Amino acid sequence: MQFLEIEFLKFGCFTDTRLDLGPAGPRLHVIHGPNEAGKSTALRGLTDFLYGIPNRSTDNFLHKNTDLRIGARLLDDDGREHRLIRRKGNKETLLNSAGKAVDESRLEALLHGVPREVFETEFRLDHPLMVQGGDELREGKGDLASSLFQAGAGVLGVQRLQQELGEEAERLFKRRGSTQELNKAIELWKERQGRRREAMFLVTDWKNLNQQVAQKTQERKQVTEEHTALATERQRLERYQQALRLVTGYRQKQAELAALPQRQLVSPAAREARARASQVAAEAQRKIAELQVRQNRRQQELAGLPESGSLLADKPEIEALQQQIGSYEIATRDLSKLQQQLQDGQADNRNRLENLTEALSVEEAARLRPTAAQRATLEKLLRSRTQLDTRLEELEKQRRHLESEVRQLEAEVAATASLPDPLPLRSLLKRIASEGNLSAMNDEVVRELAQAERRLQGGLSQLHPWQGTIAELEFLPTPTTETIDTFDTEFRNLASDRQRLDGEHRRLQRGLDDAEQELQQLAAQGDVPTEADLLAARQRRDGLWSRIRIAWTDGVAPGEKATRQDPEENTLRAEELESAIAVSDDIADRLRREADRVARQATLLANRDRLTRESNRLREEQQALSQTAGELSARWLACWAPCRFEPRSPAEMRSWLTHHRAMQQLARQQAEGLVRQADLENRLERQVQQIAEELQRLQETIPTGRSVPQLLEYGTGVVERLEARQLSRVTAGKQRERFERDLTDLIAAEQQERERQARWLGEWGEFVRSFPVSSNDPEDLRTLFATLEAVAHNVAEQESLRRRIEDMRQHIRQVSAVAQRLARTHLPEFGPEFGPESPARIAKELNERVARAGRAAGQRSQLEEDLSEAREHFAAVEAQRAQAAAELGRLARQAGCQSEEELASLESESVRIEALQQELEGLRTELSHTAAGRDLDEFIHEVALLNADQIPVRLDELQRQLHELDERRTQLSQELGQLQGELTRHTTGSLASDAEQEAREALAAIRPLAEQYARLRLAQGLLRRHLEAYRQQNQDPVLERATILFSRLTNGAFEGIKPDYDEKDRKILKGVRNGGDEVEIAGLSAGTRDQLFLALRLASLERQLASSARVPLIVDDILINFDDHRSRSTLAVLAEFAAQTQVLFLTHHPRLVDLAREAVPADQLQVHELRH
Amino acid sequence: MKFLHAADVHLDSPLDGLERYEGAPVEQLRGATRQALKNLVEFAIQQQVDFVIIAGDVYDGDWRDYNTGLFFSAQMAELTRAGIPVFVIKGNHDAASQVSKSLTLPARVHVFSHNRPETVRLPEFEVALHGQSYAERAVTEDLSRNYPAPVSGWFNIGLLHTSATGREGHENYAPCTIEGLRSKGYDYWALGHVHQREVLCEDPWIVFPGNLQGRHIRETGPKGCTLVTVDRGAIRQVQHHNLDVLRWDELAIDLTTAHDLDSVLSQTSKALSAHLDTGDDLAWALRLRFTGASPAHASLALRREQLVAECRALAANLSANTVWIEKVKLQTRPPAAQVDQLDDRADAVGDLLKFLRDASSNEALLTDLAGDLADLTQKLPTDLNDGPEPLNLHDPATIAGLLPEVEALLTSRLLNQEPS
Repeated sequence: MQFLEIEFLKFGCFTDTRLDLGPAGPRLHVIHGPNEAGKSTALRGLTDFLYGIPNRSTDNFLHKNTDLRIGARLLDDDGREHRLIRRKGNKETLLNSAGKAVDESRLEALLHGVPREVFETEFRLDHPLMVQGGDELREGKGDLASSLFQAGAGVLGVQRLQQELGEEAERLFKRRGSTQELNKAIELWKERQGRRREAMFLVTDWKNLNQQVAQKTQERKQVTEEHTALATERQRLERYQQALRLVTGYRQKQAELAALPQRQLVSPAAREARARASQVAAEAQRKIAELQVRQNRRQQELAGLPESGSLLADKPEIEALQQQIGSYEIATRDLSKLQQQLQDGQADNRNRLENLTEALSVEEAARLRPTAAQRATLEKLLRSRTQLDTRLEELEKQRRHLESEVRQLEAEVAATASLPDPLPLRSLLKRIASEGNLSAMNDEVVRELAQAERRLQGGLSQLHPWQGTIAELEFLPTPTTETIDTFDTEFRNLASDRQRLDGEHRRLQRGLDDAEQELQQLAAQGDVPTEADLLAARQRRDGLWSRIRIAWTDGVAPGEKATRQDPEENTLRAEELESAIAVSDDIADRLRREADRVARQATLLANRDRLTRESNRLREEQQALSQTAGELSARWLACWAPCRFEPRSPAEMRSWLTHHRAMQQLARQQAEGLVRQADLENRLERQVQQIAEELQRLQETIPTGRSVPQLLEYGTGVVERLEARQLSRVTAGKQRERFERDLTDLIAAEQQERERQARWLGEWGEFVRSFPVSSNDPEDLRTLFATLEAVAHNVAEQESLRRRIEDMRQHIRQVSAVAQRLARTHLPEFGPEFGPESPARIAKELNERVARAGRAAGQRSQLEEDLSEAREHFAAVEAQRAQAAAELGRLARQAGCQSEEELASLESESVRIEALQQELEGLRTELSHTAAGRDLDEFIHEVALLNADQIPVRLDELQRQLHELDERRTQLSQELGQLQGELTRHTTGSLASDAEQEAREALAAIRPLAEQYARLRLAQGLLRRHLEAYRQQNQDPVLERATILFSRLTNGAFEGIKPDYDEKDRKILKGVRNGGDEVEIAGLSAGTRDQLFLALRLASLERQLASSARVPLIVDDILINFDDHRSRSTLAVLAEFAAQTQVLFLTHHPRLVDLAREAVPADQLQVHELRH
Repeated sequence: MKFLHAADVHLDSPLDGLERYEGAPVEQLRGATRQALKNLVEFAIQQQVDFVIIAGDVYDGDWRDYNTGLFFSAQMAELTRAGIPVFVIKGNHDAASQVSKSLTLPARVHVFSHNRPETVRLPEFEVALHGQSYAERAVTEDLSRNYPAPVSGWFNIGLLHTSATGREGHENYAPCTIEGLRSKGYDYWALGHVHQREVLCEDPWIVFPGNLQGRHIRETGPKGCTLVTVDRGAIRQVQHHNLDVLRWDELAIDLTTAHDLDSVLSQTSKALSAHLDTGDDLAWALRLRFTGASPAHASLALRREQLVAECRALAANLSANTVWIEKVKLQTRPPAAQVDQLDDRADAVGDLLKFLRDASSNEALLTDLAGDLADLTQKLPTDLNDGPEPLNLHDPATIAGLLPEVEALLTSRLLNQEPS
């Protein structure tokens, strides 16, 4: 499929923009659009036309979504034409030229079903892709498999993907790893397996545990029984031991009681009554003594207190005086100060009034005091005046400024009355600029020419032995490369045959020498019998024998004439025969005995014969070869005869021929360059001429000796200067008119303000008349107003001061009178005279004296009360004491005692007897407990007979045994507790099954990780295998083609590329420089890597196109990193590629358009300008 | 008269395939088979049944923890204390179990002899129970053939641990035919061994009650026992009752219309909500299986881990942590249009795709690929090779099973198919 026309009807910035790519034919379409021309939009539009405009398209800024349309005329592979239009929408977006929806399959068929993704990756080449492709070649260090695959797939990052998959897998699992997630999961599972095993409670464990529990329980039961028996014995012995102590005590008490006298005892009640009475009497006696002391002390204290009756009567008056003393002192202090203040105020008023321009009395001033209305009027008038003054001043200033501006502008307009028109010059300059920078192009051509010349001159000398001129170079009748290759092969074959024959000859000679040498050695060790020797000896023997036999039988040996029998001769013959027999036997024996030597000699002889034969054959072959060599050399020379020099070896001549072709190419380029240079210089001269004419018309100076760019710059300067002046004249005229209008308005405003000023002066005169002011100065009136206000205020204040002074004087007089009176009554020692401080002193002294008198009166009444209470108490205690003494007497009598002391002695005896009886009773009770039901007296008797010393010994023994049993029992209980704990732990809860569940969870965690690891490793492994398979399948054809393309794209700097191995034995790509040096990919420059990537990509694409759909190839500005030479070569390659499928080459750079015109024959190129 | 028929308790057998994660209902998982047995005891007491039948496989064969036996004994004691006798036959697992050999059960728990068929008579109900335990793990003859003739006029129950006519996933032990069982003239056949509940026949009733608690993804759906009500010698009602505490299920979610991960999660959320709305109020172990020709296919392959995490979080939120996402299985495929496009590619990518497609039928390649995983295969626990869904990474078939996802992973990463 190919585009015949593309119509951006309404799309992005385009409205009805068409690119006519017809008529059909293999051409390179170069579509040039400067920046902003919409190149990117056009690219997008192409894809959107083929596959639909996406919902989120941003190409709707000019046309509404529903209006978006892209059309195209297409030619299918069968030569039929289709016109289709794409609109934006969700369905039925493909329309025919009548605007009717057509099925999407129509376009799909044209595209052979190539989907959008494939179109975008496979059939688009752009600069970022090239750079990325080049970078990946470097990063992958030229890995052959991934490079081929990437070139074939149009995708990048394959090697990185492989690496990432490996890394991700290793993050999950490593064979000897421990921190990887999967390694950890496996470890966790193992650990939980172990825990599960530990928790498992087997039947045997259960039986063992139960058995142990039963055993320990039995043992503990026995220990407990033993312990009980011993404890019983210990208890019995302890009881006896205790009883022994009690019986001893009992007997002692009985003896003690018997020793006491038997008489009437004092009852406890009587004892208690006596003790109570004694206590009462003693207490009464003690209190009596205390009360007497107290009465005496109170009477003494009363006598010591002073009298103070009249002072207390005046107490209220004295306290009032004390309260007034504060205000009295303040009044005394402030009085003179206030008087001074009064005098100062009066003086101030007088001063103020005297300072006025018209002197006034205080009274007049008070009368003239201004009202609030008058004050307001004054302030209003003052404000209006200030405003008027400011406004007038501002207006005047503006007027003066405008007048000056108008004058200036008039002068400026007058000065620029007539100017020439720069428009024709501007048009000329624009046209020249649009033709491009011819000077630079010319310089470039000159530089290229010089370079070509240098290279040609240098190159010619390398064409030795040929000697000729550059002109002859073009038509030198050299043989073709193929011819040279054929010769080369023949020469090589010849050389290799010769080498082979020489080698063989040397080998045969060595064989012959060896055989000869060994034969000689054998001969040196003695002659070696041969079968022939044996045969000869036997023949001789047999001959002799037959003669003898004949002689025996008929006397005639065969062949002999019958002779007579000669006995002597017979004897001789017999000896001869014996000797012959001996010889043949000897030979036969030796043949057998020396079989090895015999055999060796036979072999050597056979070998020698064979080698000699082969040597003769070789010699013949060598001669034939020499003849062929001669013929070949003659043909080789004949082949080069037209060039008139003697050729060297074919290999050298092949290199010579390559060089010669390069020289030819250079020579052609030089010729083309010369033509271009002449053309450029003509055009430049014409441009200079035109500019000069225009400058003359504008009466500008014409600079000499300047280049076209400089003239362009100069001309532009002239145009800009003239245009600027034209513009400023128009602007000045307009400005002046506007300023004059403003000036008229200003003068009118100023007049209005002056009228307002006159009205103000009238109002002011009227107002001032009411006041005694001589001047017209508003400030004077404001001062008068202030003075009058101040004076009136002062007069009011002075009146208030006078009233306060009078009040103070009255207060001082009153306080002094009271103080004097009180002093006369209560302080006679103060005398009749008083100072100013006296009232205060009097008040203070009186106050202190009143306080003291008050305190003394309180003490007196308290003492008198206490004394009377003591007297009353004394009488009551005395009565108690008497009553107690009577009771004591009564009690002594009752006990039959004479005295109170006797009664006391009797009482203590009674107490002792009662105590003994009680103790005896207690002991009996205790003993009866110990006896545990036995007859008490019997028991006591029995105990008394016991051996008290043996009991503690036995008890100690028992204690020790019991302690041991206790310990054993505790230990057993602990052991049982542990066993039962274990049993409980295993029989309740679910330790093992929980552990098993946890182990299963750990196992479950392994699974997804293992699967993920497997997926990553499989992905990596499959990719690796496929890359290798892809390499094997595509390496030869793709590399063969890519090597040609690479050489062309690099303009011959590289011969091509070749597969090789790196140090890790990995298949990689290497570049081969012109001259045969091999370079690793990392050693290539960025641009060359881009070219390598492009070569691989184009080679793969060609291969693919050969077997599948032909879809246009869109190439977007890929030549950014290419120099001009390589750009030309690339454009030429793309033009050739266009024979396979349509190629659209989009670019921003006009330079590339020129290069395309240079590099591509006109009939294979079509240039389009993109504009919106 | 009422009795309960249960089988295949597999006490303390663990739940398989549940990888623990934050938010998973771990507590419900612990002791699930024990809880199910407790539920059985409670239900029997609550229903005041007259006896309970357990038709084999109380224990899990390899399990040797005696504690399991003690627990079973304690639960049986609960029943007998409530006056409910229990009749047990030993199944293949019990025959292999160390635990069952040395355990003393309460007096009213009757375990049928393994030497010959035995009949127990319950005169108060006029019921005769016929049964025979397994003597060893593998019993291959039809035990029912030797079962005695029914007691005339009484209600006859046959207890038999059998695979019947053979059931997938179960060893073919004590095989028998429905006709064979019918010919015995019993009123009810209480079968065990097959974990899926199934009524083989209603005249007479021949019933597999299924196991008490599902233990892995092959045992989905409700699990429990069968309550049988008999009136005057005739069966009035046969009713299934659920006893499980954690239920297994698989949710297949069709992603034909899902374009990205967000829409996948939204659909998952809907499916989970719908499932939870209809389901019983208990914990779930769910497998999510994504299917369909989905535009999100490539995206899912690229972001598998994120998908799993998001699904789990989603389930935890929706269910208040009662759903355990057992596994997320990706069985989506690219949309047909995408497949066609890729298939049509004549370039190196097309070659690669063809290579990947063909890989699953290339036995030599699969074996070779399995070799790539040898490091891991050696280290993986062999337990992974057993169970309901074994993972044998040295097996070419397993490798072939992983390939669709590998293909998605590789193509999406190679062609950078993550949607923008």
